[in-house]
Amino acid sequence: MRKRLNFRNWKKVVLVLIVLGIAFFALSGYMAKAIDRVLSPVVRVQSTLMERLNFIISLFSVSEDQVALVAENEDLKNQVAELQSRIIQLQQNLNEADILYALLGFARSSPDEQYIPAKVIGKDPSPFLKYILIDQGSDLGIRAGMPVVTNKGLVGRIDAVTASAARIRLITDSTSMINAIVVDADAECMVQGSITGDITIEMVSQDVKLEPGQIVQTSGLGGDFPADFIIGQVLNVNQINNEVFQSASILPAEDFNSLQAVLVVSNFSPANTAPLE
Amino acid sequence: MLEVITGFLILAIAGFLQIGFFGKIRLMGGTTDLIMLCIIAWSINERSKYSWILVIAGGLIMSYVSAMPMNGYLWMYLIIWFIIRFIKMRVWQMPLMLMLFVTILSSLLISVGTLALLFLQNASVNYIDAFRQIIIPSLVMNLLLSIPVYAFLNDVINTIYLNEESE
Repeated sequence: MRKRLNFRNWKKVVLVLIVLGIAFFALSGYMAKAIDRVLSPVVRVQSTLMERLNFIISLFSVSEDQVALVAENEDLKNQVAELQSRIIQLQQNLNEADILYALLGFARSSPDEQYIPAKVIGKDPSPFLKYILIDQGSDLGIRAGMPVVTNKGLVGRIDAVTASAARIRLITDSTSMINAIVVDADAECMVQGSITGDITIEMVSQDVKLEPGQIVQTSGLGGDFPADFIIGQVLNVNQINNEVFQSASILPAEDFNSLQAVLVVSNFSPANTAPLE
Repeated sequence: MLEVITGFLILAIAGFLQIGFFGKIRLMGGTTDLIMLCIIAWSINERSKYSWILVIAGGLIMSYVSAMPMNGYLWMYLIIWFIIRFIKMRVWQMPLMLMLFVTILSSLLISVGTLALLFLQNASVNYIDAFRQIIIPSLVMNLLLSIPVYAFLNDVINTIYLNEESE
């Protein structure tokens, strides 16, 4: 028994008691200030060291967040490009739909006529000739001589036809002559195209009072076009007293440079006046 | 044979571009004649052997698409081809200068030819307006496009014949 409680064992017992005592004081909060004082410089050094270390590591490596951000940015860029192309497509569709709605509205407003809608696919390569090409032909019943209109007014007439395409001579062409009437003045006249694409009314009697803004429309005389299709309105009157007739330049109802779709009047056949000539 | 096939392809593409794209690009009332420029550039090249076939093909394409009376484009392109043959053999042998010179000459020839045909059809033609608003702007546009067309087609023809020679 004496052997067991020797000096070395006493040292262990005292050490255990001291440790337990320190633990007791620490757990009960009496040593918090002392611990803080001891640990705070260590923590400060440690945090400073870690900051420097992290900074050095970040210089040589890309964090996972950054990789994810780059990938996300790439995805978003792709999405933006895709959405932009879709917006352009939708704007084109909307534009086409607007034109088709306008043409449909016009076709419904005049149920006596039968119309074949067609898309403009090209222009005559010669700058001297005012012709356009459309994407419908004899397969849909289009024949030479049929009038072509839009919701705004007269465009021209079919000049040549293939199975799936047709060529239209515009009213602005230099060989185009149309019998017309100035509505407000109740005067008959001839609408003539020109090589530059301007149109004029000719052969108007000097007695008639022409004024800018008066509407010009087809008269139906000659049998080439149905009556009452709007051609345009009077722009400038050219009246010279010594001449037999007066003339005037016309602002066309349709803008022929931005023509995208047209309606072919399919139930109208031009009168064949050749035997009478 | 490869020259003819390539030439047909290029003329077909030029035809589509002419009707769809270049027809809409206008300087005042003038437009460019891409098929004419292709034919000139092809005919000027010393190595080309079948340029006459392409001239006829180009003329037929334009006659089919255009409302020009009496197949005017076909005859005018053939006249241009004969002029190029004459100038190339006897007078002028600098290709780029020849390209510019023939472009000017051809543009004027086609304009005058078209006006003559329209005159025969009793069309309403104001010659001064035609000169100011169509002939001069068309000439300028043709000249602007003639150099890139020449550079491109010259490379194409040279590539075709270099390949044939290496085989």
